[in-house]
Amino acid sequence: MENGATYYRRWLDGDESAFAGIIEEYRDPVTFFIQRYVHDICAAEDIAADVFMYLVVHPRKYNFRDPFKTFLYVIARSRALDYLRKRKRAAQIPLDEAEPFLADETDLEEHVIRDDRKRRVNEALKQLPEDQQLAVHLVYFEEYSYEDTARIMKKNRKQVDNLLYRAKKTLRDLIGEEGELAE
Amino acid sequence: MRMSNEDFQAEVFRRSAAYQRKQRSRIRILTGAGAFACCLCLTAALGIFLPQLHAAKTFENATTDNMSQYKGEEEQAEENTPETLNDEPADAAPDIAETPENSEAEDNTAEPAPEYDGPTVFVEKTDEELLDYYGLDSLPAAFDEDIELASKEKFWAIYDQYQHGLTVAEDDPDTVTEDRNTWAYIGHMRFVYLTLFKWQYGDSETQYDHKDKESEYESITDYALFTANGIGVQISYASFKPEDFEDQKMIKKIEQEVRDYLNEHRTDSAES
Repeated sequence: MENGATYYRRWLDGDESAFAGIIEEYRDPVTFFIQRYVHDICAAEDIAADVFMYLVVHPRKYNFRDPFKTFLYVIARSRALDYLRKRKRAAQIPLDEAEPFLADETDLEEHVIRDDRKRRVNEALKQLPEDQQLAVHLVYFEEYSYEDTARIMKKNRKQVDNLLYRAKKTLRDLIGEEGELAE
Repeated sequence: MRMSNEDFQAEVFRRSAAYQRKQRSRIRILTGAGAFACCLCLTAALGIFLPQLHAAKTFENATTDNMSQYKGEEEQAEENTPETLNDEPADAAPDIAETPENSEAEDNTAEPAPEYDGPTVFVEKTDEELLDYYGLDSLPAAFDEDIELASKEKFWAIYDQYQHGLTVAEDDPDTVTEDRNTWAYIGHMRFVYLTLFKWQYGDSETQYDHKDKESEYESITDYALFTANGIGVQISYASFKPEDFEDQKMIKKIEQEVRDYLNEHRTDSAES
């Protein structure tokens, strides 16, 4: 099975169709990851498009040694934080205007998280602080190692350990031992 | 409704193309602005340095010319025997005063500086000829090598303001500056210099003045002007004086020496 780096190499070598493989494989996970930061599915889609645009306009930035997905997530995090900084200065979209897009968010979740148990965890996860959400997302949903998680979040290993410890503790209170959400 | 992957990819490429166009345009603007700024800097630099270069070149040329004139004067003075000088000194200076060039300088106040050749006439004169012209039998004590304050960097100049255009040139400050510059440089590293001129309207009180360095001849900061025994005297001294030089004391000392000197050495015939 081809991974992202292989697709990217092929695209850089002139195979136009290879970029579709990258989009196919990484669009939803990247968008979902960005959604964790911005809590706005439209903005997340928009930022995801910028992340893939980065691959097109800066073809020499990727070194082909690190995992391609990690490279994408680092860009995604950076773009998401940029967006949050800009949003602080801009007017917010009223909630009633944002509501029609909630269905898209649900679609995306269902598309990315196919496991029911994970979906329940995801629901509980929304009640955690943002850092803890991201750490759990990367380790639990994206199956990143603690080291890669720390790299993407620009934190050290110890900080990720702490975040995950606190997140697990809270989730244990929210989700029963059988995996049910606590009322 | 979420975009399909094909639409999403099309959007990514559309944004990439727009971004690259924007980058190219930004680079063009920056390059243009940079080139424009370089041109401006270059023009400004030329505007600043060219006049200075020109002034330095002019000054260098003037210096070379004047020094060669000055050396020529010294050589001529060495060659001349005292007898030769004694034959015609008293007549020489008045003759110069009556030359057509000098009359023109007096009449035509709008003459540009290069045509004013009064100082040149005096540069060509020997010390003895000048002394005769002013009716003096020796140099003032202030010029003497033994005078401590003027021992190393003295300069002296004698010229007749009224016959050689200084009063004329007062209407044209550039001419005055040019004239004084020329004279100051003919000497040495000027420190103190005296200017003598004929004066026929009685003695006057000493006027002291302090020149503004911004607007006046740069190296001269103070001067005293007085007249005695038919001679006007201006004592000027420069800003780069030794540390032990006390302005007013020094200038008064020189003034007294010059007064004493004029009382003792001014000949009757010259006064009349």
